[in-house]
Amino acid sequence: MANLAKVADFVLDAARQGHLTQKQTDDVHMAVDEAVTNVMEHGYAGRTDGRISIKCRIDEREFFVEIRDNGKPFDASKIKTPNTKTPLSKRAIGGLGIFFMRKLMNKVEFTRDNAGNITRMYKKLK
Amino acid sequence: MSENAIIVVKPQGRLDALGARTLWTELQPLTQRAAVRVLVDLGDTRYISSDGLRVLIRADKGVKHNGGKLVLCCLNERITEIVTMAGLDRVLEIHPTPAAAQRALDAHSSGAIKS
Repeated sequence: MANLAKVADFVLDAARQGHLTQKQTDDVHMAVDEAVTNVMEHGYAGRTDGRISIKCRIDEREFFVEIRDNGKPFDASKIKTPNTKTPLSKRAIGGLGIFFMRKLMNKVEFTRDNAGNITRMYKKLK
Repeated sequence: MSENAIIVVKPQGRLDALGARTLWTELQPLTQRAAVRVLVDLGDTRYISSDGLRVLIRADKGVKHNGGKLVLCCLNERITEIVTMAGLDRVLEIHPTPAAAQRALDAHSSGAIKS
């Protein structure tokens, strides 16, 4: 969990180099933080030896980030998206992280290959 | 500190998953007390994640359950945006300044709990 601040520094640095606006920077920072937290809390639940790799690619039109882990297989379709219109007492609070990832980015994909889970997120910059 | 004093909690920096855990260790005991009045001042909080929001919701629920009141103040523009995006501005009581938050807590009589 202490590595979340390092992840943030990495993303913020990439965003700076890519000349993202403050709003775009805040959005990709939070989306990556949520994705990595998800891996730590679910994929690597109870483990401290898990590895996570993060790769960013930025051009003038798009910010792309790929997050790989070899934790437990992750099935996003099983996560309920909270309905933010319903009263809190009746709302499923799990899934709030994925709700933000989808809200802040233009596209979020969860896939898996032989090496493990892959989360890919895209944000249009123009 | 008197029984009825307002308790101010002021998290610093990042309320990511790690910061949220630390905050919960402070707020959790308060949720167990009767009619507690809590001000969570986010004036020094730069960032909040879904885990941070979850802690605030759990704390709010717990405090209310025991007849108390929890309010937030001093959210920066970005945190306000995130709270609103999740629809939590309708759930959590938010004030612009510590003074406004204190007034709201003063109005909540700590002796109001019914046994």
